[in-house]
Amino acid sequence: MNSLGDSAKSPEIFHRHEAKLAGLLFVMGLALAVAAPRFFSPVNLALLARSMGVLLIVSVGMLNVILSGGIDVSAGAILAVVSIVLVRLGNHGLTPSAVLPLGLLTGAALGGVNATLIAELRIPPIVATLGTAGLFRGLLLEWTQGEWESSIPAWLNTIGSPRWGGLDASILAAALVMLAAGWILHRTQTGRAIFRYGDSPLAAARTGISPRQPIYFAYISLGLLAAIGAVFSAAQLGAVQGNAANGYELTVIAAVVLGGADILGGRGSLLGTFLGVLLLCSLQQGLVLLHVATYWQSIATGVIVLLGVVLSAAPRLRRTLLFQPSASR
Amino acid sequence: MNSTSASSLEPSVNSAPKFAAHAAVVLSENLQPVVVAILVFAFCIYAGYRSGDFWSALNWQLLVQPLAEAGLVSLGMMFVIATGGIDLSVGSIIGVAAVTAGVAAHRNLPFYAIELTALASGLLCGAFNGVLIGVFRLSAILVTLGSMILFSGIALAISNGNSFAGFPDSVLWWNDATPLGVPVEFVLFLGIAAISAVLLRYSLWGHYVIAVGSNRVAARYSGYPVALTLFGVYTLQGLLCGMTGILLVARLASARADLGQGLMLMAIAAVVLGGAPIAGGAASVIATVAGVAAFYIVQDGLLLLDVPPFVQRALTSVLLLVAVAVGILLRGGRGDRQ
Amino acid sequence: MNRSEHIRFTCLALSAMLLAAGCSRLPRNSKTLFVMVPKLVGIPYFNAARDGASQEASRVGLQFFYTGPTAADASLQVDVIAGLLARHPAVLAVSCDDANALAPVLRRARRYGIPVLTWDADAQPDARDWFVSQVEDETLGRHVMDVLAEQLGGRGQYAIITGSLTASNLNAWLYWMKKQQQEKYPGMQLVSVVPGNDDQQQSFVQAQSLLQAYPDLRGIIGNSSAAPPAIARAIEQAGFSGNITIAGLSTPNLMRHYIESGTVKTITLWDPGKLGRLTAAVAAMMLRHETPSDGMDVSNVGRIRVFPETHKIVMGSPLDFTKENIGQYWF
Repeated sequence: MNSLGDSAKSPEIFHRHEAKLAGLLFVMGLALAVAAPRFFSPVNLALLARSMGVLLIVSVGMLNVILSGGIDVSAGAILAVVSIVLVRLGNHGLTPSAVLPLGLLTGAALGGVNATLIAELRIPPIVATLGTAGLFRGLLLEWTQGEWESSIPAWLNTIGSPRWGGLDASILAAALVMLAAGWILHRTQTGRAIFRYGDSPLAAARTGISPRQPIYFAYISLGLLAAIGAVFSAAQLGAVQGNAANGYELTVIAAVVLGGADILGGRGSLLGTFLGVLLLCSLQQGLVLLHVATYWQSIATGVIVLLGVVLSAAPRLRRTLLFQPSASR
Repeated sequence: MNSTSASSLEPSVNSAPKFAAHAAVVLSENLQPVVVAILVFAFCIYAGYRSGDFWSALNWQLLVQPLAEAGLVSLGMMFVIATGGIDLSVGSIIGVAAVTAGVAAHRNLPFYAIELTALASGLLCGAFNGVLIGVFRLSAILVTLGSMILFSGIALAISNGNSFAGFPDSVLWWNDATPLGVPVEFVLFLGIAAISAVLLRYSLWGHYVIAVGSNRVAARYSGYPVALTLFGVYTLQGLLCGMTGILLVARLASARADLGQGLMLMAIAAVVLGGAPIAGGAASVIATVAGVAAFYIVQDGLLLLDVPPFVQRALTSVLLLVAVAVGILLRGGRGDRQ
Repeated sequence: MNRSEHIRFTCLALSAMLLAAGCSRLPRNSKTLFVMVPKLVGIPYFNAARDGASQEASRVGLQFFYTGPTAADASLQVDVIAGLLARHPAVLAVSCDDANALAPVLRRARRYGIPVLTWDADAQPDARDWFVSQVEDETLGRHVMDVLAEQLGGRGQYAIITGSLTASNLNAWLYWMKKQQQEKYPGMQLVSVVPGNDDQQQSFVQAQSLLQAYPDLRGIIGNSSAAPPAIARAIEQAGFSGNITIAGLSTPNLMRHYIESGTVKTITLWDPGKLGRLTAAVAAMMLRHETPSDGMDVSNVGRIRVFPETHKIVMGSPLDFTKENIGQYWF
């Protein structure tokens, strides 16, 4: 079925997409250097890094899910739930050493709900997460009754405050998350199981990999990482609202997919995800710096996403246009 | 999306009966629409008992209008999902159709020109998706993610963020007319549903749609026009979105870029609720109609029962999960990925 | 999971669903049912209005029901109202997501004999009996611009972060803000209007981007309650607190921290609770077949202005919150 191989077997293709993406970024960088040189000022670069932190953390979780051949549209809802839980517990006077683990646990538990529905009840991922998104969001908004929290505990505030020349702790966290994920995905049996299962569940079953391990790892890790993202998101903004992160999961999916992950599973890389996040965030910043009107920003983003899709399918495209036979995908 | 059977890789002369048999097997084992119908019927009894207004004619007249709109989009989505694809851009296509109709109304064009503009812009958007997905064989979810963003930007740019009003009465007719007490929107929806059912079961194209969804490789090797089929499916979806745009414009007597935003998730949920496998290969008009009806009836009933809006949302999500779980249970727990 | 576990799960979920639905109360008499619909549920501003209306409604003996769309989407709001029509409420009061889109369903309600009020955001005039507005659009827009201009000394670049780009009332206020600036403060220059979509995160990102894109920016107006706190946060974090003026519309609770720290000098609004009370009071008047008169004193609200030709009621003037008085307001 998969004549293109997975990331472990065909490093040339693996490197090729990331290289193309880097090329696209380079071209964008050149255009910005000419049209809006202020983009490269230290202040702006720090701002860019700060805006990437949360997206990067959640994107790593989404990468795990997509590698396993699934998808999760409840990531935004999980993020919103955890941010409210964190702030409310914190405002009630609980210490950070109690609040943070509880928040992370909540995220992991919500991810666990997704994993159970998908692994045990065999509900297709898009349906299961569609349902849980509505469920989590509905229950959250009913619980908060629409009240926003406009003050956060002081310790949470310090986490999100810029220092070290405009950067904040979210970048450090994102780097740690990426290192950990890299180690798990490429150096542990769990990680290899995800790649194999995502590539072909049938083949994986025949080699003795049960679907449980990769699925539970993928969705629980996304829940956990969404929770970490919630910590920094709340810390940066200084306030939380129940209907936050509406539609956020689509941005995350776009970043991961732009980074070269195959939506059908089994292929993708952390470097690619990082480049995808960088592309989306710098595009948004760049368009504003160029004084582009809001509507045109959407159009530009849509075009770039489509461009990225065409790029990532280029090897297949070439085969199509040259009338060579290809696999079912 | 993955094909549902890994074994039929060899080309086969007798592929036609194989595909049809496959679809028939999936649907006959699929009691999900029946489960949904039973759940909804039970709910109706309950709602009718607790709220005196549930069974009033007025309630149903008002209920079927948004149902018809979502229903048209869901029918298009049914075809798309049957080919193993998905279309995330439907909400944005409706927005484009609505605002182009608004521009036409603003220029005081006759009513048929306004409606044709909406249909044409929907068709064009759908064709855009169709070319990228059918001819260039790009991934459906990714293309429609990008086109969703692109089209919504286009709709905003055309309308400049404003809402258009001043549509002629002949356009508003779609909302106001009630032949024999039934809103004409609903009549249109039933008509399109009937046509879709005929297309699906008796036309060659319908057969191709199912074949492409069940096993794209085999379909290609059997000589089926896969690219054309896929192109057709997304273009049809665009056309249906254009129709939905007209209906929405008539009902709201205005056009905005963000019309139809929530309908994408609703359409996917309705098709899935009706029991169609998300990986493609089977479709049923009755099941899709049942799915759409289930959502709107339950939502309306919950509203009349004073259920708070967020709990409504949570409950309809639970309905979706429960119905799908039950459907999978009845299929023997096989699910879609084998 | 085996079959029996599946069945148990399903039964549990089903009964939970029915139980949750069954725990709702139903009004016993819809002849006194006053239904209030906001632009969207789940925003502190509308919650405050709801509380005021609910208080007044119980005081005058009306049954109060509050519901609305879960997002500021005109077609969702129309669906909600259409669903409510089957209940034949005694009075309907709606804050419209879109003046044009809501008109057909509101006209329909009036055809069924249901008196229709709009509050906070109007529909087309022939679709409603009365519009209960908090402040005149023109007064509000001009006033907010005055607040900004005073702190800017009448010169400099400014930007506006609004709510949703398609919200009619926000656009009306924008119009008057710009008009006031063009007429009275030609030394000021508007560089950008961007949407924050009633979301603090989006408004925050927009504010940060504006600061980068326009280094000579001296002021930002937040034209919907979510924007000003996010703008203030962005400015504090960028270290421009005190150098860039923030003005606009938001609630005291959301702005308290920033007003007390001095980042924001003045924030404008009105009392949404009062608006809610007034709406409920007018609803009661509709049921008693009374007509509001200009200058009449409504209890717990004050003197209102009534314009019989346009069927418009104006609650009062904009209210400024500053360090001196913010301690008195807790919504």
